[in-house]
Amino acid sequence: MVSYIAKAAALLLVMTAPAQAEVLFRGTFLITAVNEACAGHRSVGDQSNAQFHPRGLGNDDFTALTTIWEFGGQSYMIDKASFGTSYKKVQTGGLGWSTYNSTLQASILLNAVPTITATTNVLTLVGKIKNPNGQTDRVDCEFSFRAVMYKDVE
Amino acid sequence: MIKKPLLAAAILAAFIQPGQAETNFRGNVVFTAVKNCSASDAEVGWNFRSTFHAPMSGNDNFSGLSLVYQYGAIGHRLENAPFGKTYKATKTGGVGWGDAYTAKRQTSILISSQQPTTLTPTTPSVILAGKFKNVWGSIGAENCEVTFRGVYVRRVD
Repeated sequence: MVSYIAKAAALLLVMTAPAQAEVLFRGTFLITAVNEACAGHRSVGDQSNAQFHPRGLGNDDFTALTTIWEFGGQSYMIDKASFGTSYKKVQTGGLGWSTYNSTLQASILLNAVPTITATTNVLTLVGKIKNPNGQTDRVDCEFSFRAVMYKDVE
Repeated sequence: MIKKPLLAAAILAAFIQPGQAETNFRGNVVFTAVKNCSASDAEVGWNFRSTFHAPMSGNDNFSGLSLVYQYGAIGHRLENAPFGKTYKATKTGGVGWGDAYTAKRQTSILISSQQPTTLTPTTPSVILAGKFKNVWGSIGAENCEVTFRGVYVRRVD
């Protein structure tokens, strides 16, 4: 009987315990170069808040980079994989005039893939994004970015 | 007669030319530790948008660091010197509830780490670690000490 109660209590504890917090990096995201196909869409100097979700470190198994500006945002996510040094297709969606779901996938690459450990406090990502909103008429839009972020603290 | 208007136009053009652009770094600051602070003064995890201005080549000779949140902002300024590894008193003011705010008590800042250590007009990004003492310049918060981390990219237009 005691064993049963202890087991039930343990199960209840597991069920009511808060989920382990995900490790996130937050900071800033700057567009440093654009090609002509991005005209009127993205510009050099566009700067946003940024949030990066890495794999590992006890996190859920996806990689995501979110950019949030004053009146909207756009996010790039790949499931069960990391961003790499060659273009990878990513899910992209956002919020602006209303909820936005892309028609096509965007692509992202990093110039160098950082090693992230439990003691990593700051993170710099430099790379490129192609067709950032996943639009049929912006397939060739490609921009370069630099993101500098700190590990989120609570 | 033609020369005179040309000369006048040249002088006018000289006056209305924009000054040389300052190198500014823009990004975000997060409070990573607090000591002797009330919950209304500072909590770990508070984060802000921020501009960092260093007295470097091509810039006016002052150090500046701002903290901008959704409903207000505050800026810390030190004339003719870089922020250093020991506390330096700053001139602090901002906006919030109403008209311009001036700190009621002395504010101070130190930068314990700056990467890279030397900044130039082409430095792409800066990472700072440091502390504020009485970050808002409030009465009663003289001993409130905040440890922060700042991440910045160089502003480009």
